[in-house]
Amino acid sequence: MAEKNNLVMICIAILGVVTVAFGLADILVSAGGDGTELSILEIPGDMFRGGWGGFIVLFAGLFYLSGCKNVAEVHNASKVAMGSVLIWIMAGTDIFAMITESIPGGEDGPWFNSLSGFLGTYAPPYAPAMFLLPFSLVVVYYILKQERTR
Amino acid sequence: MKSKIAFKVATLVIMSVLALSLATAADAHMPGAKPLPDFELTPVVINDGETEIEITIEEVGKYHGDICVCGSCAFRATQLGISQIWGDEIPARDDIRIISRLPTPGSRDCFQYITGTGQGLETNTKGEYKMILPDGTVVTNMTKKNLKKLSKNVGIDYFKFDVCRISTGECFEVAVKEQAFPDGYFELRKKVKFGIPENATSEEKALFKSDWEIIRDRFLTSPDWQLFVGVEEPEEENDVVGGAIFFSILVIASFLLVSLMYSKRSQE
Repeated sequence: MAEKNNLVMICIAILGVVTVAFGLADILVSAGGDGTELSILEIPGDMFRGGWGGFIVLFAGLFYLSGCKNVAEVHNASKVAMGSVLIWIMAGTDIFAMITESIPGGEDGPWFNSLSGFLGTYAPPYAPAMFLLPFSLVVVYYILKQERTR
Repeated sequence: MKSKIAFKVATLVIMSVLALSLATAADAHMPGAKPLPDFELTPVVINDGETEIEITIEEVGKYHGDICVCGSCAFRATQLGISQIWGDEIPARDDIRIISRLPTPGSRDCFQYITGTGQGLETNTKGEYKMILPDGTVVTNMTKKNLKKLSKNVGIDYFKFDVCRISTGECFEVAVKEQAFPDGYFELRKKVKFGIPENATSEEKALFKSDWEIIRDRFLTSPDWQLFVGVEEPEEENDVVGGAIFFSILVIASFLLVSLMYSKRSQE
């Protein structure tokens, strides 16, 4: 049981460190003014999505790190869950933006997008929060499962 | 006594020739300019009679003496004009007519080299090259001295070139975008090159040199849509496969989430 707890702690800590790194990258890049693209990762450069969004991701990482030590304890579990919720806010708005952007045909185009245009909207690169989303879901699933068994 | 006079005359002649060559170099090019950036420009391909020839910017630069702002601009304008009029066809040299509004030696040499109308060029066929200023003046005297005089008031309106297909009468006007030049470049040029309205300070001369380098590098490295009016930015091709994969993941994940919630509820 202790070994399993240690493994969970390490996993959440790694997730926390990566999240903090992404948050800092968001803030630093938006402070520089221009967005950056690294293969399938895109760090936005505008003040709202990059700067403010960067703070949210950074705090998500800090929540993960402060709650990773003993996730079985309810206060720590809630901190980790809160970190995940912050990630969901960011990734959720990104996905929502993608969906709304993919339907209309563009400024001078037709009312509805073409199939290639529609699918092209979902193409990479993606913001850091999108990469963190699946891991944040797994973490919350683990916490819920733990609560149920208890 | 005679040999002394001959020596003096010879010295004078040599000195004048040297001074003249230095003055010409300073007038045509930018002394102390940075080396050329890394660039890749496709050659202008034309048919000179039966022979297909490729004209590179390096050849044009060699003919003129250097790759300068006007030469590189004229080369890019010719490339664009030919692609707009002939498309994928290779034009015959004697079917090309270029009407330039820019009275500068760099652009003159480039257009003359391409149309085969320049001095010392041996070509099978010749196209046409004319210089007509924005006010409608037809320039027949294209000597360096006269061009320098005419180029005093050069502004963005002068950076326009008509590339025409003689056989069909089709023409395309290539006009350089104002954004290709830094703010206040033409006023600064007037000050530095002609002392109008007053002589330039050393700071202004340094700024002009750096502006000149920026413009030259832009003409060598920037895409057409950034340099010329009416050229649309090419649309990025959609990554349909990447988008389809992500969209599928999104749909499957949403479906799983909803079914998980329903199954939990029904268990309760």
